[in-house]
Amino acid sequence: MKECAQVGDLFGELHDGKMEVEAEKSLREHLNGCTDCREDFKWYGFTMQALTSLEQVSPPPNFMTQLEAKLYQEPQPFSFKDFFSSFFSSAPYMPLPIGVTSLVFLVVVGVVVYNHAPSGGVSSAAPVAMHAPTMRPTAESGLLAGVVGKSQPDSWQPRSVSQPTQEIPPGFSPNIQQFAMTGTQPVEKKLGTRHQAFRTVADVIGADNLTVESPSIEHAVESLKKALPNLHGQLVTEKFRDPVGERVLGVLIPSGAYGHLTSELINHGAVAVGAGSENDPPPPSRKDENTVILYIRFTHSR
Amino acid sequence: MIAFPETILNWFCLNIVVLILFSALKPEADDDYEVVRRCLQGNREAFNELVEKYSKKIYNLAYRFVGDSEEANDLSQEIFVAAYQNLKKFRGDSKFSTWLFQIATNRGKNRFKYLKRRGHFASKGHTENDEDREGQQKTIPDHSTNPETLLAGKQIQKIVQDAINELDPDHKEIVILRDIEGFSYEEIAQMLNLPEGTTKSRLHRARMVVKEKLKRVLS
Repeated sequence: MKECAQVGDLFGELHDGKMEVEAEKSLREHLNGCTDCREDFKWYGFTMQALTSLEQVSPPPNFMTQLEAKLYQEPQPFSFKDFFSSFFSSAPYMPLPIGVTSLVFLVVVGVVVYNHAPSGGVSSAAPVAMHAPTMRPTAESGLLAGVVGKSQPDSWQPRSVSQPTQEIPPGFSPNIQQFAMTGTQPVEKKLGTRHQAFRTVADVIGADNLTVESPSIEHAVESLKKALPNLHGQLVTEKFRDPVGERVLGVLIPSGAYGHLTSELINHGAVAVGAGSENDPPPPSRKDENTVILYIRFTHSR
Repeated sequence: MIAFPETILNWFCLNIVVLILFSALKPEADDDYEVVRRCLQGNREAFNELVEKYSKKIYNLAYRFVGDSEEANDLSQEIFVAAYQNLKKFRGDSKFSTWLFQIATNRGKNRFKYLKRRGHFASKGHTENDEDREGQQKTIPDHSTNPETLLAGKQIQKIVQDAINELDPDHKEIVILRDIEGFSYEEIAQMLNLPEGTTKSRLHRARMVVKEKLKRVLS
C-alpha cells in the first residue's frame, strides 16, 4: 500500500513523460501488476485530458464596446499615493533601481555643488528683504492705506532717519532700512546660521513697539481689539494720553502673529510712519520664546 | 565639506550604465513592448490592440474561475480596467502577458472567494450535478473503460468545471494556469510568486482532487 501511495505521486511526471528511464520502467511494472494503481492512472490521464480539452469560451460580441465605455468614460481619480509610487517607474521598461540610482546621483551632485558654492556672508539687508513682504507692499504700491512703522528696540527714538550706511536694495521702505542699519543686534546674529529653522518676522526684526497713524484713532483701536482674538492675542493695558490725543495699547500676541497683526492694522485703515513721539515713550516691548508684548501707539495722522 | 572620492563617482557611473544596458536589452524578449510603450504615451488604439489580443484568453480564464458567462464578462472587464489603470506601474520586469495574467489571477481568485462566500457555486453545482449525472448515465455506456467517449459529451464540461469550482483557490489558480491556459511552470511560479517546486506539488494535489471528483461523479 505504501508503494501504491508513492506511485500516485509520480503520475504527473509519468504523464508528462519526464521520468528517468529506470524509474519509469519500475513504475510501469508496478502498474501492470496492480489493478487499483492502473485504474487510478487511467483516471489521472482522463482528468488531464478533461482539463486540457475544456472548450475555449469566447467573450460576447459587445465585449469591446462595454470595456471601452468603462475605460474611457470613467474619469480616473487622482491619487497622491499612486503618483508617488509610480514616480520613478513611469517609463515603461525602466527598472526601479535606475530611478533610485539616478535620485542618489542627483542628491550627491547636489551636495557637492552645495559644498562648493561660494560661502560669502549674507548681507545685512538680505534677511530683512526676505521677510519684508508682509510690510513692503503697502510701502511700495500705496494701494493700501499705509504702513506700520517700526521703532527702535531699546529706546524710543526720534522718527527721523539718518543716512543709510549700507546699501539696501531699491524698493524697500525707509523703516525697514532704518531697522536694518540700527538694530540693537546684528541682523546676521538675529537670523542665526542658514541651517536654522524659518523664523518669524518678530524674530527677525525684534519684538518692538509700533506707532500707528490713523485719521480715526477710535476706529483703529476698535479694529485692533476685534482682531486680537483671531490672532490668539489679548489686550494687556490701555492708556490715554489726553494732551496729545494719543492712545497706547499693550497687547500680548504669539510671536508668529506679528505679521498678521501688522496686516490687520493696515487693513483697517491705519497709517503709520516713523518711530513715534519723542516724549513719554511707551514701555519697551518684552518677549519670551512664544509670546510678545507689544505697545502700539495710536496717533492722529497729519 | 564632504569628501567625495573619485572611485565612488566611478562606481555610480558604472552602475547607471549597467542598469541602462540591462533595461535596454530586456524588452526585446517581450512581443508587446512596442504596444505597451504606445499605450503609455496615451494611445488608446494601442491598448485596444492589447485587449483584442488577450481578451479571449482572459475571458476564458475568468470563466474558469467563476464558471458563469455573465460573471466572467464582468470579471474580464474588471481585469482590463485594472490593467489600464495600473499600466504606468508596469516596469517591464516580466513580459506584459505575465503581468496581465498575474492581475487576472489575483482578481479571479478574489472574485471566486467572494462568490463562494455568497454560495454562488453551491446552489449552481447541486442542480447541475444532478442533471449531469442523469445525463451521463444515459449517454455513456462504459465510462470507466472509455474516457474518450466521456469527453465527447457536453455534460462532461460542466462536471469538470464543477470539479474545478470545488478546489480551493490556491489549487484552482494553478490548474487554470497550467492545464487550461497552458502556461509553463516557470511563468506560473513568476505570476504567483511561488517556487517552481511548490507550483508542481500544488498542481499535482489539485489534479488528484479533480480526479477523485470525476471518479466519484462518473463511477
